[in-house]
Amino acid sequence: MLKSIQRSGRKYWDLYLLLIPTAVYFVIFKYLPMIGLQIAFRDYMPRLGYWDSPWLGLDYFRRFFSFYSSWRIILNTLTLSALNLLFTFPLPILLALLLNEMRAAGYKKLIQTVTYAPHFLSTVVIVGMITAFCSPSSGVVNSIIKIFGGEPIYFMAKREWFRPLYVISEVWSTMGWNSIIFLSALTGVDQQMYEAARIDGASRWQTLWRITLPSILPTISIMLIINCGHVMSLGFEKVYLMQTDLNIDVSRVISTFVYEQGILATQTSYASAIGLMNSLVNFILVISVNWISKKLSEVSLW
Amino acid sequence: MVSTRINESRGDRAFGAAVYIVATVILLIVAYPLIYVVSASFSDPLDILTGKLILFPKHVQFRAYRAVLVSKDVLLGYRNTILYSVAGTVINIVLTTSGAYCLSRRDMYGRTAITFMISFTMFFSGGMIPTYIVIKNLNLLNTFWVMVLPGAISATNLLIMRNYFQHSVPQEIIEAAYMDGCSNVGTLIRVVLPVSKSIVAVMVIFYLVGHWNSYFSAMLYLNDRSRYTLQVFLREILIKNDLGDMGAGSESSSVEMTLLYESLKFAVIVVATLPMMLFYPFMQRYFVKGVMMGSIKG
Amino acid sequence: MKKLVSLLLALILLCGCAALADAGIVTASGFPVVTEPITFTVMASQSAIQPDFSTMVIIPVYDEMTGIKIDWQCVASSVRSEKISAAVTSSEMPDIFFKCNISAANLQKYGAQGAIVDLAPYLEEYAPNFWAYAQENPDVLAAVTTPDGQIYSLPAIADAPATRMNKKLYYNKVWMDKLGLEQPTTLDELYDFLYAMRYNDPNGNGEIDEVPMSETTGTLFQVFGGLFGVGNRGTHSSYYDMDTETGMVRYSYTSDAFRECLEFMHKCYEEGLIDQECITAKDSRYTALAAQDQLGCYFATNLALLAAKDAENFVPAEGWIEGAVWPTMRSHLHSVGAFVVTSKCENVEAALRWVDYFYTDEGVTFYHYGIEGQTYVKNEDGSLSFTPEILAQVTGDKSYDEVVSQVGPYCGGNNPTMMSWPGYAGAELSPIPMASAEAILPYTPDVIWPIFTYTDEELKIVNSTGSDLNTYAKKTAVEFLTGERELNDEEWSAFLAQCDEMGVAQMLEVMEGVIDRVEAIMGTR
Repeated sequence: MLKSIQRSGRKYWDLYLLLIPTAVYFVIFKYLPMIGLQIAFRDYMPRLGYWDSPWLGLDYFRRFFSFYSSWRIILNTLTLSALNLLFTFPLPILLALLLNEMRAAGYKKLIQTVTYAPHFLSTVVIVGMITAFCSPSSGVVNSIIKIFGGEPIYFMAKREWFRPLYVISEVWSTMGWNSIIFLSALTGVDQQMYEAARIDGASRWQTLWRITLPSILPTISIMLIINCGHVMSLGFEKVYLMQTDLNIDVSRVISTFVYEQGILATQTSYASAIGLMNSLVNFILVISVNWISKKLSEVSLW
Repeated sequence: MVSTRINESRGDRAFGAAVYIVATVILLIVAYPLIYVVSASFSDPLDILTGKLILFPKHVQFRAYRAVLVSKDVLLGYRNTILYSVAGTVINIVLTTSGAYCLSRRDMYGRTAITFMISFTMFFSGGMIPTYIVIKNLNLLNTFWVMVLPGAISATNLLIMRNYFQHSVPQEIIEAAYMDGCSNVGTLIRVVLPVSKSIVAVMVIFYLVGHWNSYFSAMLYLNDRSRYTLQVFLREILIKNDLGDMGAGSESSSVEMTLLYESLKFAVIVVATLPMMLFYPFMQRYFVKGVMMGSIKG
Repeated sequence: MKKLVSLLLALILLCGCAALADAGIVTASGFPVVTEPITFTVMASQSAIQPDFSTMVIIPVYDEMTGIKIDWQCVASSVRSEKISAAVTSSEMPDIFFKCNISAANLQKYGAQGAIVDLAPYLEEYAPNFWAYAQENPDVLAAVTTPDGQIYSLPAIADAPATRMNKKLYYNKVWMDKLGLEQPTTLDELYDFLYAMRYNDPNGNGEIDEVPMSETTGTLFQVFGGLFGVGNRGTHSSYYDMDTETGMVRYSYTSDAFRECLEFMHKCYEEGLIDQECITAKDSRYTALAAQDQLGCYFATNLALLAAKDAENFVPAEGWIEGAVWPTMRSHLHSVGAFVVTSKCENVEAALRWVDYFYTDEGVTFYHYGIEGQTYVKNEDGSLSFTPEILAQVTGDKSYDEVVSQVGPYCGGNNPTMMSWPGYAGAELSPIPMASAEAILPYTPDVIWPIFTYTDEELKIVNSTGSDLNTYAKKTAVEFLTGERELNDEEWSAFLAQCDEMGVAQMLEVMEGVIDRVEAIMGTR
C-alpha cells in the first residue's frame, strides 16, 4: 500500500496540487456547516448554539412516525417520485436520440431551443398555467373536451388527476433541459463505429440499438444513480401550489407536510430531522443503486 | 453523411420519417405553452384572467414591459448578473474541470475516498443558517465574492464531468501523452480538454444558467442594493404589484396593479430569459460529432 | 397555586425593574422620552414597495420628538425569517425587531432562551397607553400572554369593526334591481335569492354562467356554518367553537349543526348557487368573474380587488340572516410579534416609551398619515386622506402604496399600532366596507377567542393530532360539499367514527385547558 501511495505521489504530484482548491472548497463550504446537522437531535435554541441546545435524541423521528398519516405521506412521496422518475428520466434520452437522428440542422436547433426554454419558467407560473388551462369554465383543455362532446372535467379538484398533471407538467418543463447532457454524450460516440456498421449493412434502427445506446450507457447510468438520490426529497413548491382540499389524500408529501408544520410553529429542528431522514434514505438508495451499477456496468459514482 | 441518403433502405426511410413526426409532435406540445407565455406578456390582463387568451393576444399592449423597463434597477440588475455569471462560471469551470480530471485518473491513490466525500455532500448539508454563519465568519457577507465562492463547485456537475473523462475520453491518448513526457496538467490542457468541448459546453450552460437564475443567495447574503441581481429586482417588481404582500389593500390604484400583475409575471419571464435563450444556440455548436477522431489521428 | 407563584414572581420582577429604572434617563411621560439622546438599532421588515425607513417623512420628526435616534436595518420581508434566525443564532441582534411578524411559537422559544425581553413587568409604567387598551380589551392581553405569563411582544391591534371583520359582504345591486330582489333575511330567502341570480339570467347573455356566490371553501364553511350557529367564537377558531346548549367546547366539523350546514351547502353547490370552482378559487377569480359580469355576492375585506367599474355594481349588505352568526370576525388583536425588544437593548423602558405613542389616537394618525397639513388633510366626514400633492404622484408606474410609503412605514402590515378610525390608512376604512361592517356587526359573536398560545406539551399535540384531524375533517367536508361523498347517515357516522379514532376527544381535552386559561384572562368565564 505504502508503495502504491509513493508511486501515485510521484506520478500525480501535480494533480494532488490541483485537487487542493476543490478539497478546501468542500471542507469549508460543505463540511464545516455540517455541525448544524446535529440540531435534528436537539431542541435547537438559536442563542444557545448547536452544542448547548438540549439533547433530545430520536424524539423528532418518533414524533413524525406517531403521526396518524405519516406512512401515507411517505407512500405518497415515494409514489409521486417514482412515477415522476419513470417518465422524466427516459424521455430526455428519447429526445436526445431523436435529435441525434435528425439531419435538418435548422429544424433540429429550433426543437432544441424550444424544448430548453420551459426550464426558465418559475413553479408559480407553471402551476398558474396548469390551473388556467384546466379550468372547467375557461380552460383550453376543457374547451377541446367540449368540442368533442365530452363533459368538462374539474381536473384540479380530482384526486386521480393530481399525479398525471404533476408528471406531465414536469416532463414538459424538464425534458429539453435534461436532454442536454445526453446530447453532449452522443457527440462522444466514436464515428468509426458508425462507418463500420454502415459497411456491414446495419439499418438505422439497428445502429441506434447496437451502437448509439450502448455508447451513452455510462452517462445514462450515472444520471440514473444521481436521480435516485432525490426520490425522498420531492420539491415542495409545486406540490404545495397544486394542492387542493380534494386531492390532499394523494398530494400530501413529506416536504409539504414539513412546510405545514413550519407554519404552525417554526420548528427548525423538527424540519431538519425529517430532512435528515430523507437524506439518509436517499443516500442508502444511491449506495445500493451505485453498487448494482458497479457490478453490472462498471459505472459508479465512486 | 451524404452517401447514406442515397442507399437508404425503405426501413431506414420509414425510421427517418418517424423521427421527424415524433419530433414535430413534441415541438408543438412544448411550444404551445411558450407561445402562451409570450402572448400573455403582451395581453390585456383581463383576457388572461377570463380565459380569452388562447394563442395570440386579443388586445395587444405593452404596459407590462413598460413597468419592467421603466425601472432603472433592471439595467443595474443585468450588469450585476452578467458580472456574477461570467466570473462565477469561470471559477466553476476551472475548479470543476481540475477536480473532475484528478478524480478520473484510475490509479491515483485516494481518489475513491475523495469522490465518496464529495458525493456525500449531495445528500447531507448543514442547512441554511450554519452556512450563513460560516460565510459571515469568512467576512464574505455583502461582497462580490459571496455570489461566486459558496457555489464554486457543484458536486453533481463534478461527478458528471468526471464520468465523461472516464468513459468518453479514450485512455490511450492520455497514456500516450504521459509516455511522451507530458505532465498531468499539460495532458489535461493539451490532450483531454480539446476532445471534451461538448462536456465543457454543458457545464458552462449548467453553471451559467444557475448563476443567472440565482435569487435567494443574493437576498440572503447581500444588503447593498447596488449589488443585487436581475432576478431580485424582477421579483421586487412582481411583489410590488401583487396585492397579497400588502396585507391591507388601498383602494385607489391597487386594482390596476393587481390586474397588471397577471401580465407582468409573464413579461418578467421574457425579460429574464431572453439573454439565456439567445446564448444557448451559441453553445450548441460545441455539440458536434467526430471531434475525437481528429484528435487521435493528429 | 401555579398562578399564585407566577403572580409572586411577576411582583418580584416588577419591584426589581422599578428599582433599575431609577438609574435611567427615561422621562415619566410625554415628549421627549429621554433626557439625553440615545440610539437604538432596529431591524425592520421592509416590503418591496417601501423605501429605506430612515428616508420616510415621519422618522426624523419622531427622532426629534423622542430624543431617540433610530439606526434602521431594513431587511426584505421575503428573507425576514432567515435574517432574524441568523441574527439570534449569531447573537448579533439589534435592540428591537420592528414589524417582523415573529410568530407566537418563536417568541416563546426566543424568550425561553433569554434572547428577547419579557415586557410584562414594564408595560403598566412604560407603555401606559397600550396597557390601558389591553385592560379594556382583554382579548388582546390573552393573545400576547404566554401560558407562563410572559409578554414578549407588542402586537398590531385591530380596533375598528371594519378592520376586525376580515370578510364582509357586498351584493350585486345591478342584478338585484333587474330581478327585483331584496337582500335576504331568512335562510329560505337566501336560497331563493341565489337561485334567482343563477337561473334568471341577470347578466342578460342568455347563458347560465352566473356565479351567485364565490369564495374559498374555508370562508364558505365559515359563513354558511354561521347560518346554523357554527363558528360562534370568531374567525381565529374555525375548527373549535362553543356548544351553546352544553356550554362545552366542541369540534365544529363533527357537530349536528355542521351536518345541516353541509346539506344546505351541497344543495347550493349542486345547483351552482355557490361557485363550483370554489376548491381552487383565489383572489384573481373574483376579479375575473366580476369583470365578466358573472358575480352576484362578494365577500372581501374591501372592494380593492375589483376593477373600478365593476366595483360600482356592488352595495354593502344591510344586515344578515336572522338568528345567524357572522363568524369571520377577529379579536382586537391583529397579529403578534410587531415590536420585540431583545436582550441587547440596554434601555427597555425607553424602547417602550418610544413605541407606546403609537397606541394613542394621535399616534395612530401620526404613524399612518404623518403630519397634518404637510402630508394629510382632514375631510368633512372626519376621515383623513393624504394631501393632493402626495396623491398626485400616483401614476401608472407608481402605485398608491409605493407613494404613501414615503410618509410612514405602515405598508406591509404587522405594525405596533392600532388599525382604528380615523387614523388608520387602509382601504377597510373607506365608506362601502365600513357600511357593510357596521351592518353585519350585530351578527358577530359576543365572545371572540383570540389566537391561542400553547405550552410546549399542548403544542406537540396540536401540531400532530390536531393538524391531522383538521386536514381530514376539512377534506371530508369538501367531499360532502361537492357530492364526491354522499351525505347520508352511514357516511356521516363513518366520518364521525374516523374523527374519533384520530383523537377528537384528546384534542377537546387540550382545547378545554387552553380556553380555560384564555377566558380566565379575558374574564368571560
